[in-house]
Amino acid sequence: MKTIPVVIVDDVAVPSEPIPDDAVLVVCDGVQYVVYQDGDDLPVNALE
Amino acid sequence: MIASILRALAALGIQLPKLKAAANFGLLGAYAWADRPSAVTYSGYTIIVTDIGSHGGGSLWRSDGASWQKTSAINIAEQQAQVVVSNTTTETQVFSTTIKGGCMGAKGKLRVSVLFTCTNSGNSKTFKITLGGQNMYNVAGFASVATLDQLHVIRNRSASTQVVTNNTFWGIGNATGVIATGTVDTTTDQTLACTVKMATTGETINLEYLFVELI
Repeated sequence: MKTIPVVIVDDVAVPSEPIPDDAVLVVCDGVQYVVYQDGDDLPVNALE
Repeated sequence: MIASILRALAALGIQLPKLKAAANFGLLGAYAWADRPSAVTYSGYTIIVTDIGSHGGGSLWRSDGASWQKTSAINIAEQQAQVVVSNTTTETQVFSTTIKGGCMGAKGKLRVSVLFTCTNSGNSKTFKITLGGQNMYNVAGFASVATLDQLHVIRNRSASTQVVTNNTFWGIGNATGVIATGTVDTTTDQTLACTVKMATTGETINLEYLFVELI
């Protein structure tokens, strides 16, 4: 699991670095992008 | 060896069709788009462009004597992970890719396929696709839906002007609004991005998939 902070560019929240290609789930709450990768436990409620 | 086989076939009265001369129809090599050779110099040749095409597979391009032309539609980028946005009212980017300068040509098209799910409520939500920072689609204020499956086409009228359907409308179907145009110079690298925005926290938008084809 990797956490990527949000940066605001032209009033848009964007990741401060590219999302890794091996991501299987990305969750953004406006503050950070949490990147789940192979082998990570996934938050069940995010998949609904 | 081959000659002797052909002679044996000929002796049996079997004639193979003559093959077209192979000159100028060969595979020249593999190149990054920025390092591709001159299409004028290598008219008729085919190259593999290593950095246009998803999953690292690259794509085939053939010179028509003036420029390199893709040999088929190319899936150039895709969001392979589900992206979930929640608990924020800030416009949030869920996808971004670089459209390499010149790859669209003067009449090229980008086809963007998207599947979203979202909290089914009466609260307003917004969806945008931008190219070079300009809104190609800006569907604002939609609500009371749970699933959004969309197809959007951005067509170059020239290398620096685009046309799309009414850009406040879902990608395919009828609209009362007029078409929209863009003025993005596609001869240089441009960013194609997708963003979502919710009017209230406590709700969720999921990007289930998004892929971009060059056609």
